[in-house]
Amino acid sequence: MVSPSAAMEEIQHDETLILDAMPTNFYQQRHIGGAVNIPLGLFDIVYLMTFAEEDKERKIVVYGETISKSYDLEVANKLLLRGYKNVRILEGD
Amino acid sequence: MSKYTAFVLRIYVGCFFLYASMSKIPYPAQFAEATANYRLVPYWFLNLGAVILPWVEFVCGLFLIIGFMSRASAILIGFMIILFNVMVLINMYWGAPITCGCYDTVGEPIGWKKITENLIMLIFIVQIYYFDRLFIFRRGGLEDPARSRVTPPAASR
Repeated sequence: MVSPSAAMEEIQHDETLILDAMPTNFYQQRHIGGAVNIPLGLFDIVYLMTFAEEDKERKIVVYGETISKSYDLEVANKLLLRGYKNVRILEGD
Repeated sequence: MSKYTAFVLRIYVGCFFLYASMSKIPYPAQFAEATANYRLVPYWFLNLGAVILPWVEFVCGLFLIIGFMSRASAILIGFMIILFNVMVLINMYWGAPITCGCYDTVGEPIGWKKITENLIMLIFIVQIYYFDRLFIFRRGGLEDPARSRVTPPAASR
């Protein structure tokens, strides 16, 4: 887990990749500036098209949790299974 | 409102919910996804509800068509419609870009049209509850209670 303030600091230093795990329609409605959308339902396709070449050591922060579903947790797990080591989840909604 | 109109409405609402349920029963995962988009159903009920609710719709629709426990079915359907309308209204207030997930996995966007359709359906349900007296399924087959009413025998002195 990473706090919003710590994540903000890392974004400003351009160290961290921010991933929005919500469905695309929600991402289009609202998202953190600079965040990249990787919707859970389309994870495999989007991953192959966009993230397959990404450095496995890079810091990644995932967000996107609702009362009904932890999109962030599921996407983070999928990234960990693909060998990414620095995957964290943003605290709060 | 005549009992004949209530009967026609009962068949219509029954067929409507039977159709709605049959598009969800084979695809509980997609229905769970559509429900999750509303962001109101707690995660621990999401999958269970996605399996149970379409079957409740199916049974209520079937019962309305055959006239078995039609008032109880009408109450259940009415409750589901009210609940759904509240969920739609909250998401409209939030400006959520979601589809209703009513009949198929894509569905139409939520909005006042959907709210109006549901309110009309709710009026049908009220009519069924208060005026449905025709072809009610009881032990021994279908009957019209108005016709089969037996006058109690006069008390002998």
